[in-house]
Amino acid sequence: MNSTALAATVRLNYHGGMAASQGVRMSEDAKGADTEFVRVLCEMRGLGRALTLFPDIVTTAFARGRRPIGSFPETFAATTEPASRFAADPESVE
Amino acid sequence: MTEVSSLPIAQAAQLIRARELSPVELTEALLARIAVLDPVYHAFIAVTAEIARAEAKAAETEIARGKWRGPMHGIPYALKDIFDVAGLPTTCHSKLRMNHRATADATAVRRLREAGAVLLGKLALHEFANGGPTLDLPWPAARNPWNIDLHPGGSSSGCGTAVAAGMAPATLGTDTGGSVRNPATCCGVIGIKPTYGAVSRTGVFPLAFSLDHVGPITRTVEDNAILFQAIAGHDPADPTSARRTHADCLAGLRQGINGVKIGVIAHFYEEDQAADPQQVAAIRAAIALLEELGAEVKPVRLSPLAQWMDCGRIIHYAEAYAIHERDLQERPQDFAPITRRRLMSGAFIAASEYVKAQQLRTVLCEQYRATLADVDALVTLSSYDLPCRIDDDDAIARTYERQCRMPFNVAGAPAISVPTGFSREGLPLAMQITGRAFDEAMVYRVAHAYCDAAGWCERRPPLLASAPQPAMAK
Repeated sequence: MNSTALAATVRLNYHGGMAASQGVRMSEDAKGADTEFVRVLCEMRGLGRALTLFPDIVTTAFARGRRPIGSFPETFAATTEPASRFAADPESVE
Repeated sequence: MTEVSSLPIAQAAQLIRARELSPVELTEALLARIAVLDPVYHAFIAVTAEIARAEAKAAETEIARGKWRGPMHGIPYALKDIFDVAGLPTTCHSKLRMNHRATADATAVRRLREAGAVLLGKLALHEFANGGPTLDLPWPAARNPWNIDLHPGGSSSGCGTAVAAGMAPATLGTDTGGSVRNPATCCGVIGIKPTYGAVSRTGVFPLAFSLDHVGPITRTVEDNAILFQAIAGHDPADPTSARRTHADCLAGLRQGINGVKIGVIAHFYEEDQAADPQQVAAIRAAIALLEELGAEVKPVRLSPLAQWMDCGRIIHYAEAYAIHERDLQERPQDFAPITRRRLMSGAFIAASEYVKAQQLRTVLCEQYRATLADVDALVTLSSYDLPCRIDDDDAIARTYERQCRMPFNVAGAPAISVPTGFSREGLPLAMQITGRAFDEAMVYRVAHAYCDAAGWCERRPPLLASAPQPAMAK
């Protein structure tokens, strides 16, 4: 059973006034990935066997994995401290 | 089908305490129901009937001697098969874990054992809490009790199915990007993702360390709070466990919400992505009911949903890949294709992108904390769409992107999914209520007031007692 028709998409400009990602936006389309680059990267990561057995899946995973963060809040800075040891409420952790 | 099997925990606990209901009788009723229904709905990977009968008998004997441990004493429950139970396999619904045997109980399981609860079995999930429903695994995928051809949500799919079908009054799942709240939403029941650090994850197979949460699924809000209280609290064995005493979530449950300030994150579903009109209409009606109940409702804005989703996606992929890298290198063929594709994405994330995601998380968490300084709770949608067909791979893949649950994993904040009605097709609709870190008491209070007034939790799915010809059947 499929859902009923969706409401019209509201167009938004998420990126206005926000720091742009420093990454390179790559297409989700796996065919767009550079085959040789994917192969080399897979070999480096020990995934040569996976690429041989499942080339389409690995290439799709590559495209998904290389998709960068699209935009950042205005308050984001390159010097922001990462939440490397995450705590929902830092005051609660001794 | 016996009536006793559909008792809420709160009511069953009172009857058990008064010795008007035996835990053995309750357990046998549920085992009988599982025997009839599970061949159709596939919620269970393993039914632990012997353990259940022994634990139920022990509870009965102890209560008869006058020792009542609390509201979970003699109450049956089931676990997503990602929790360790000493002596049992923790399969994670994966071929890779078929020969596993746990040597100790997960902390949450130990606490339920100490509370006198009765283990009915281990439940189906998406492989490693990360894939999707598929035929490529050793056990079948759980089905949606509202329509057997539809996805029950995941990854704690068996948890939602078992509770909605009345095969277990309580289940424990895990939630990394919505995996407790999604099945709760799709199956029309109650599912909470508590605050990060509120419930120990020791003995639970991880998906993404900094996003993983343990959470209960039940048919009522009160039952959910009972189960949460039984498992919450500091655990020295879990380095992320918060060192604090948890507030009593049951004491204020029936206080009502007159004067409670509730912020509505409407831009998530009215601007950021287009939602099914039935979901939107239902949450608007729910917000109107909250106002009728005395809540002071006002709109609030957080960062666009895409920023929260990107942040969670990068962290999820990177952390999950680190866990599974060796198996993906050496035996990739043993994962289901959908799991392989999702897990392998993490291999290609640049280290700097992961750090940026954690930096972004710092900013988003601060924004969330600041927003909650002015209100007591927030509400927003859970899923954009209605449950999709279980054999529609594209629609299943979209469920990971088209949802409003990930922001609260990123923030580590408590978030509960509650039913907001039913679609024209008779399928459950839902919203989320979220709150400040470690303020589950407020989240439960708002959820209880709403559900009590709305009455959607009373509705039960029209169950099938014999196997029809469902989608994905071979």
